[in-house]
Amino acid sequence: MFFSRTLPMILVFVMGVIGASLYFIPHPSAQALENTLSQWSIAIGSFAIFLAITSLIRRYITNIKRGKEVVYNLVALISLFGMALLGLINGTGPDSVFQKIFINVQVPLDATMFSLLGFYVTSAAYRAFRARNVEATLLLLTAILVILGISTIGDSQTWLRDLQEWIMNVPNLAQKRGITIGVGLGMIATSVKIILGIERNWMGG
Amino acid sequence: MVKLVLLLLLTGANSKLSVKARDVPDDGGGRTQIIVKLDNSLIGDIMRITRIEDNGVKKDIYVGEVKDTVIRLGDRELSDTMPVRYYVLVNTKTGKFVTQTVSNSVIPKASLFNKKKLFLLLLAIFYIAILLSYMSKAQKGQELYLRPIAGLAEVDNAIGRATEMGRPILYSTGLLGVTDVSTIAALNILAYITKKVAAYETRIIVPVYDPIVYTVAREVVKDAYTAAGRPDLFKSEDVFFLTQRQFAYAAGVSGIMVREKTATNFFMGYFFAESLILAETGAATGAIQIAGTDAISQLPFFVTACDYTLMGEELYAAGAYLAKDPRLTATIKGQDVMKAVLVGFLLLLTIAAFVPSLSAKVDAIKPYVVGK
Amino acid sequence: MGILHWLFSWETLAAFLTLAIFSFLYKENPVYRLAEYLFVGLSAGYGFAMTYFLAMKPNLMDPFIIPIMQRLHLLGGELLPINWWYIIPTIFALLYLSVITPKYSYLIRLPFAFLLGLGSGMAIPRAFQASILEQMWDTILHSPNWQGYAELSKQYEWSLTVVFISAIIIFVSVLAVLAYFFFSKEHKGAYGKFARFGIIVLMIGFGASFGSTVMARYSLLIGRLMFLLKWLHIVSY
Repeated sequence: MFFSRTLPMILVFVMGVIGASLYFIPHPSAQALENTLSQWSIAIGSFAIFLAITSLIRRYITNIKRGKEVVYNLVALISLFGMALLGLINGTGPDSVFQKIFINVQVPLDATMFSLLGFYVTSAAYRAFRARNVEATLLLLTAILVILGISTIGDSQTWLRDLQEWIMNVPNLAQKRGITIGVGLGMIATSVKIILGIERNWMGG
Repeated sequence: MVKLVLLLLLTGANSKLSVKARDVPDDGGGRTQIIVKLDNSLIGDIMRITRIEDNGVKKDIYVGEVKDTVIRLGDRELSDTMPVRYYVLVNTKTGKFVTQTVSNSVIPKASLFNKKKLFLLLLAIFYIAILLSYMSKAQKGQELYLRPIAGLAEVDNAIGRATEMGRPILYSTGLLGVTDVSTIAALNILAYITKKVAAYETRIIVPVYDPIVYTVAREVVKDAYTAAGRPDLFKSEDVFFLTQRQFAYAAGVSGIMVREKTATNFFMGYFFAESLILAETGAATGAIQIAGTDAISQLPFFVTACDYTLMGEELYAAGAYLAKDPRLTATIKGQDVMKAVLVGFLLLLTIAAFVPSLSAKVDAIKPYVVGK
Repeated sequence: MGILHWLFSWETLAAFLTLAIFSFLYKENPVYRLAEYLFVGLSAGYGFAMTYFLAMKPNLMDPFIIPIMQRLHLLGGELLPINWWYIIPTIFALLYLSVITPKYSYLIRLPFAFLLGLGSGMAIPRAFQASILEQMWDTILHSPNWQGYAELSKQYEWSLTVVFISAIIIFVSVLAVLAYFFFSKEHKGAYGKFARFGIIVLMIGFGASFGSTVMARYSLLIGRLMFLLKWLHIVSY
């Protein structure tokens, strides 16, 4: 009971109070403590990769054992181990094979996946168009005005460019501010609940 | 040098030249501010400012033509315990001595508390007090009204739909780490949803982006199954780390949504550009989608492509709304009270800023209110 | 030689993977699936190696674990100094492995508590400053002859009237959005109308964000198509 509940609750409280206090203390020793704690966080967190990678490997192996998508799971498993071992044994320097594969395989995959958004923004816009309610229409109309303002049409039709700048700096800004203030309050309330041990889902409720 | 300093101190005030040094307050130490006041007649001459540390180390920190009668300078990277003085010498351009003086001694101390942040500290304590007082009210059994939130009312239906169709549910906790509060909020919602899923005996797939979040999510899901009395239903291979690369994660989750034919998709937490890839893929499969994020730039995409979207603060309120634990819901009430207090504060400042005689004062207090 | 060289080049592989990902737009298919599994596997392996070199080695292995292992004669090499402070994060990190034993698996809550506590604690004052106070402060409405409006007028090349009216619009809109996010009161009557105005502000804001990203997304897509054309030697730049 002590190790499973009391100690985690004491620790979360102590760390929370330290984390919050550091903000108010400009003294270099506080800054040094903050640096140390964030290095420790990275150190502690980095260990989670073992459990994380194990879970992914286990999933692939389970699928292979069940005869589900065997070839694909094997491809994933081989590329995972291949890449990790290449990096660990052969190094991750700029001229390494590891980086070569990264640049020639992973980067194009990243770029292509990212570029799919070119299609998806269109289909999302169409979805908004089909929704035919006041909210979606407003969203779509504003989006169209902004697109026109940014585009080359805005070069000749300067009023469109001006309107687009106004929309970005006035209603868009107001919306962001309103949401941000609410988010700040919610974030603080959630943090307080964690530190005080009122929100305990992370330790089994 | 000691002799010079003594000599200068003995000669007393210099009518043409004065220099004052002061410690920069509320900082981490090592910084001073120097204010040199010069007579009009010195304009055009050459001024040299030399820092003299108590251990005798000297360094010129400024040499230049006098262009103004008041010169402010900052000095930095000093020791925060060693006293320093500043010696100012004014010569003509041809190098003929005009006048000299030396400043008071100052220690560029490091502060233990930043006074600019006092208001913020008091406000934070006030907010925490409000939250606690509402929690205790709720504990005493006082009923607190909260209006329904559309997306949250649908959560149970969405789980029910997956159950009826005999298809799994997908839950993503976003792309930030466990120290990010939006991820914590997403994990709280995950706990609730898993308990429901356990009761309905539906399958939930949780592909996780961050390794640490994965370890927490796994415990949350496992504990939620246990709390619902169905530890047997927990499948460790359904809660897994996928990859920590943004678009690889998007590709992987998209593939899962299509192949597993998930009936309901939850995207909770902080997302980046991949938000629309996930939401559009899910929408194309015909799944019911409920998103929740405080990533303001991604909200438009979730709003257009998902059935329901918890916007900003709603994400943080969701865990409490769903858990129906009066102590947790009471904090939402506390949030509202704080919101009202802040709006009152904003109105007050606006009124003050409108009064011409107070307007400048409002500007002046800004660092003490905002904390920087 | 030329064609073979072209066929077995990194460019051809990248082009194949590009087409494989694009094929998902039509439907999920074996080629996409292959690219997806390769992508996930490679990136997970990449992430593992990078986490080791960037996070674990400098913050855990070098200061503590490797020097200890060297002294236990488990590892050779030039003897590294032990930083005893790092015994603390090392213990917390090792507690992750407690999940292997069902009996002591709850010990994993200790590293969680460390990270969650620190993260939550740090978030409180920072959220107060950046998300609340700074936003509130910038929303304050000043009298029209305030110096700040003159500066904004210069910055945006808007007339003072436009700047002041915009400030009023921002002020009212922020209040309306906050009213929308007020959970204690039903959206009814005059208050309900004001909250409704808040939704309108939100939607216009969303539209603006949406519109401003569309062009950037199209140019990404065009960039990818250009890559394919270049690979096919249809365009040369």
